[in-house]
Parts: sequence; structure tokens; C-alpha cells
Amino acid sequence: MTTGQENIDLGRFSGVFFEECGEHLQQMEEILVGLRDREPDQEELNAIFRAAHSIKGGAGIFGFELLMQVSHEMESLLDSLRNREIPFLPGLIDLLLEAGDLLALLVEGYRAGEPVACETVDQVRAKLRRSLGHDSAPVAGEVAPEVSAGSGHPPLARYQITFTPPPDTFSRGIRIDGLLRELAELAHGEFDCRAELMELPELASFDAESCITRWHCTLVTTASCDDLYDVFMFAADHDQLTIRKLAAVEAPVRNDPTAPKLPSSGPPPESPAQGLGVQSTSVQRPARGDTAAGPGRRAADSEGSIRVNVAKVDQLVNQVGELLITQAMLTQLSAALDPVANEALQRCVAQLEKNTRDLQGSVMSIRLVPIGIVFSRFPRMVRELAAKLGKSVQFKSSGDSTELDKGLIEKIADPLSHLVRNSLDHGLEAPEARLSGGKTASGTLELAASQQGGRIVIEVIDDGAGLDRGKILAKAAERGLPCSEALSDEEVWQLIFLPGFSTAEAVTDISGRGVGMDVVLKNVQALGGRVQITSQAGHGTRVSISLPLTLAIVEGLAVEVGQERFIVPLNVIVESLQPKAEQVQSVNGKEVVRVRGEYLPILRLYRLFGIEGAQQAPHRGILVLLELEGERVALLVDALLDEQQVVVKSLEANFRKVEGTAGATILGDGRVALILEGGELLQMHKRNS
Amino acid sequence: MHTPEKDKERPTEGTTHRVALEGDWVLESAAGQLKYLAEQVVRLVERQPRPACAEIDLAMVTGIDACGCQLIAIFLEKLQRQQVTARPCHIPEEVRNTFSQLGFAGILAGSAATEEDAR
Repeated sequence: MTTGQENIDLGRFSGVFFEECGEHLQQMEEILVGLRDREPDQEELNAIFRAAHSIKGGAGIFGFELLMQVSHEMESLLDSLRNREIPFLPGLIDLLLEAGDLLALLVEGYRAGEPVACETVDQVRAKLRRSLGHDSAPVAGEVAPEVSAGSGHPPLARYQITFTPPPDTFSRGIRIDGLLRELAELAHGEFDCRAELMELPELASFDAESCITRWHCTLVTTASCDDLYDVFMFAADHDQLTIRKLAAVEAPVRNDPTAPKLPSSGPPPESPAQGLGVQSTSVQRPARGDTAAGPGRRAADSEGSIRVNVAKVDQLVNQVGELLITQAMLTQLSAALDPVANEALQRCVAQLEKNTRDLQGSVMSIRLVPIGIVFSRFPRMVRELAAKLGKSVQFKSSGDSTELDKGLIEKIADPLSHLVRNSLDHGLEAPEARLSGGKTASGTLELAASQQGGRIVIEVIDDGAGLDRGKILAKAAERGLPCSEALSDEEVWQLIFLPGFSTAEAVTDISGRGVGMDVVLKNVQALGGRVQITSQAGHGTRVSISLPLTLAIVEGLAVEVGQERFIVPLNVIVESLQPKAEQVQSVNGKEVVRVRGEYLPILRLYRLFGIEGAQQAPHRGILVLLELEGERVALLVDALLDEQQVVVKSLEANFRKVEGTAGATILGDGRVALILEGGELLQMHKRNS
Repeated sequence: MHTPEKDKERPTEGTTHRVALEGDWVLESAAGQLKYLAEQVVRLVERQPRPACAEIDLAMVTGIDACGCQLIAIFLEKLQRQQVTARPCHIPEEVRNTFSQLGFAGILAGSAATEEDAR
């Protein structure tokens, strides 16, 4: 943008302004959420006021009219509160948060040149004015709200939703009826759902469990677009879901010359009727993972940073991976040379190895971001859901600075959301129940992260009612699952990860979504992670998610089995030993090795992978002791080769999933080695034995 | 489950044929139900003269989910493509509700008339 007066290209500086807005909004939200329902003190009010004032000032300079108007209304409200001209009411915190959301949307809209619905702006401005005791008539230039559910209620809007689920939807246990029911519950009166077959397959060759149906729904609701996306949180990826907000034609969109311009490539009306009768506004939801800080907000970690396209970072990581492989090849070749005649060369190769490792560490650290980015979305979610459920909940987080690969961060947000919703809905009790149980009225929900060895552990901890062992067992029995009272608590808790398993007596819009913990588990496992539960009746539940630090590179031990080589991740290795023949025994028909009084099952790798010519006698081979999912096992291999960092190459992308492996790598001699996945190996072994 | 009982697929008056669906139409039993539907399509199409109409009797359907609704929808659409007018009839209330909730109500649109006719 260029001002006519000074011929200064302000557009060059708007990027900095947007960044600053992000910081102000982030700070504003932190203070407001931290208040819970108490009245802000003078210092807090001043801080929020300063943030709004700064946004207003910048918006004025850049000519962002709507941003200026909303921040001005917000500033007026804050000023009145500061001067005690109006009393503080807890509802004002919600209003200020809502206004903050709108500012963030506007910032994002101006930044991207995308539209922000004027009616949304008008509604928030009207609320801000009403809270000041000003007249309730629309402000100059405003239009009346399009449809109102009644005084004091959020406005109604009509949405059109198209849900195109992937073919494996049914077999994944996604309950379409549950999703549609939940959607219907959000509707105020009008709800229409139509299923459409996307193809007409040949019955003889059709996979009966394959989903080829697309659903079209229209509903009138007070729910937000985000609420609607949340219904499909675990059922649909972004490309499988389209949500369009249809504004009623009675509510003309104000022609505001300063409003962010409508994109010229906006979607055309889908039908003549739609084109004639309704105004369509595309509601863009940020990509998953970008929601942590919210639109227009700046993530707290980016001080002093430059923005780099993630694709460039990924390319760098891949190139360093290739460099590592080349370096490993050089190391191997030079090791075969005469060390005296080639001393200088070998010194250089050693230096290259050190430099490559340093470079790899630096590059990998670029992808590491603090888990706090994800955690920061929860205080507000907890606050709002707790209020909705009539519960009093104190949210805590720890280990916010624990760093995790960006790819993992993006994908862990949804499972964590589900766990938090579960805790709020089913774990933490209502104040009366807590008091009668001898607890404080307010429950605690904690998110904790820490690095433990080569893994990151994220925990969702609540001090609620805990899991009900009897109920879970009864439900499992009802579903015909093999279970008995003899199962340990840990085994009973694992039952809740079975598809469709729920002991909830009522499906709620908080956590009863037709899909359950099985999807959480599946999502975590897809990240190379594991989920463990500990729970004590009346005392609470702790769900621990253990994730690898990164998915790109693994520190491993190369081992030989027959003619094959495998990489055993170092983080699961306890020790290795060559047992004496008498240490190998049979207990209940199972082969075990006795190590310092402990009997460990022996996993024969050659048997699991069908390798011929491998060492079959444990006392002639090597046993690598592993700790897998809390269990210790001994892995029989022919020989230990060397310890190395290997670049993980996806087998699924290039071949197919191979059970018991987390991928493959290329070794220094150019051979391919499979990278073992402990959890799957254990499952394979249990099945085979 | 789907024994070739004569009354399950007996031709009714004129050129109307009857196909009875029974049991659970859910994911767990989908493979078996699909096989049955495929057989029925072949029988209907190969019958001489080809029936103009087929009554799809759902009276014995005991349970249904989205997967089952989809199978029946495919079956009805297949028949339509073969110039056989499919008329679902005797639909239990619960099954009708599920069809409706899952957005498949449109495919049962002809059923009311059929049942009216039957009365």
C-alpha cells in the first residue's frame, strides 16, 4: 500500500505490524485466560488496554479501518473498567476474548487479503457497545444481525457441510450416525442431511466395508465454524470436509471500502438457487497445527526469528540425511585402508564425521519447537468447556519449553485435545460430587511434557474419578471381548483403546464423538508413539504419550542376522550379552534367558522375519536386552556391528508397511537395513508364542 | 442367513419380484450381505421376462448402520440402472429412522406408495 501524501510504501512495514499484533493478542489472551473469573487488577487492565491501544494505533497508520474500530471499542470498554465507570462482570472476560479473536481474524484477513464477514465484526462491536451501556441500536453503518435466536443469544447462521470420508471410514470404526447426530444436536430447527453415492461399483468386486458415500448437510446453528469442524475432529482430514457459511440474503453485506478485499477467485455459487437466494461466505479454517496460536496470533516461540518455509527445512533435513549416508560410506571405505599410509585421509574422514554430526544436530534443531505452542491452546479450551459442563477446573501445564519435532507437534494437538475433552467430560467430577468425595470443589487438569532419554513424554493428568474397572470389564464382556477379573489394571485400561469402546452413559458434544480412544491410540502410534494409562479410582487418571524426539533420524545399533542387517534403536537397548548355555531355559514352554535372577523371553529375529542361515543357539549368538513398553526381552542376533545414526526412509512410501519395523535405512556399504520397532516386535513375538 | 428360500424371492403378481432382506445390515456382516445382494441382482437381471418392479422387503431387517445403508442404496441404484423399479417396503420404524438420520431417506422415497398400494 502506498499513501498518496508521503509516497512511502507502508506495505513494507505491515508485516512487522502484523507480527506485533500477534504478540499483543497473545499477551492479551494469556492475561484474560489467567484471570479465570476473577476481576483483573489495575496492572492487568493496563496491560490489556496497552495491547488494544497499540493495535488501534498501528491499524490507524495502515488504514485498517475495521481493525481500528474494533480495537477502539475494546479500548473504550477497558477504559471504563479501569475508571470503574462500569462494574466488572465475569462475562466481560468472554466478551474480551471474543473481541480478541475477532482482532486476530481481522489481522489475518488484512495480512492475507481475505474477507472477514462484516456481520461478525458488527456483532462483536454491538456487544462491546452494549456492555458499555450504550444504546442497543446498530451503530452507524451497521446492518441488523442476519438472524437472531433471541435476545442475548449468539446469532444463528446457516452452514452447508460436505463430508467426503475416506474409504476406510467404516472399518476404522468411525460412527457416521454419531457424527451426524452430534451435528443435528447443534442445529436450531433446520437440519437436513443427504447421502450421495460417489460411484456405483460392481457388486461382485466391491469391498463391502469400503465407504463410497458422501454426505451433504445443511443446518442453522449458533455454533461457530470451528465447533462444526470439531465434530469431525477425528473423522475427517481437511480435504475431506468443506464447511461453507451461508449468510441469509436479508442481511446485506456492508460495502466497506476499507474492509479486506474479497478474493477475486472466490468460489462461485454452487447452484442458481444459492446464487439468487443466499450470500456465501467461505470460512477458512487454519490448517491443523497452525491452530495452536490461532489466526493472527504469533506463537510465543518466535522471538528474534525469521520465517522459513517448512519445505525448505525439510529439504535441508533430507540433504543432511544423504550427507550422513555418504559420510558413513567414506568412513567404511577408509577403515579398510592401511592406517599408516592413509593417516591424513583417515584424520580428515574423522573430522568430516564430527562436522556432519554437528551439522545434523543443528539442522534437526531447526525443526524442534516447544510443546508450549500446543499447550497454549488448552487454558482457553478448558475454561470454556468447564463452564459449559458446570465444573470448576484449574488448568496447569509444565515442561512447556520441551522441544519436539514440528511434524510431531502438528499431529499431537488433536489427540491431546481429545484426551483433555475426555478428562473434562468423564474424568473430573462436578463440584458437588467432588465435595461429597472429600475433594476440593475445583478439579485439576495438568498437561506435562518432559524429555526422557530419546523420547518425549506428554502426560494428561487429572484428579478426577479415575477409570471404573468394573464398568470397563462389564462393557468388554457385553461386547464379547476376552476379559476376566484376573486381568491386571493395566490390561483393563488397555481395553478402552478398542474401536468404539465407550463406557460413557451419554454421548455429549464434549467428548462423545462417535470415535474414541482407539483413534487417539492410532494417531499416536502413527507418530511412532505409545500410550499408557495409570488410574486410581477416586484419585484420577494419568495418560502418558511417549513420542520419539524426531522421526527423521534414529540413533541405532546395527546388528547382523544371517545375511541381513537390522538397526535396533539405541533408546530401547539396555545391554547386550552372550549367554552361557545353562542360562537359557524353558519356563512354561517358553524360551527364556536368566539374567541376574530375572527371566527374560527370547525374541528370535530370524524367526520373526523368516531369515535363513542365522545363528539359532542363543549361547553362540548375542542377546540384545531391550526394554519395550515396560517389558524386558532378549533379542537374539548373530553379531553386533556398530553404533550409528541412520536416516529413516519410509518403507510405506517406497514399498509397503513391514510389521516390526519403523522404516529402513541405507548403510555405509550401500545395503538396506530395516529399522526395528520394539512395540510391534513384541506384539509379533506374543502372537507367535 | 440367506437361504434360497422360495418365498424370499418369489415373483409376485404380474412382473413384480420380491426380495427379502433380513438380519443385521452392519459392518460386521457386510461381506455376507453384499454377496447376497450381488446374487439377487444377477437373478433379477437374468430372469425372463425381466421383472419391471422389485419389492425389497425389509421387514426382517433387525439392525442397520451406515455401512448397511450404503449397501442397500447401492443395491437399489443397481436395480434402477437395470430398468427394474425397486420399491422398499415393510420397513421397520427403527430401520427407517436410521436411514433418515444417515441421509439415505431419499432412496426409500418410493416405499410409502408401495406400502399404501399393499394396503
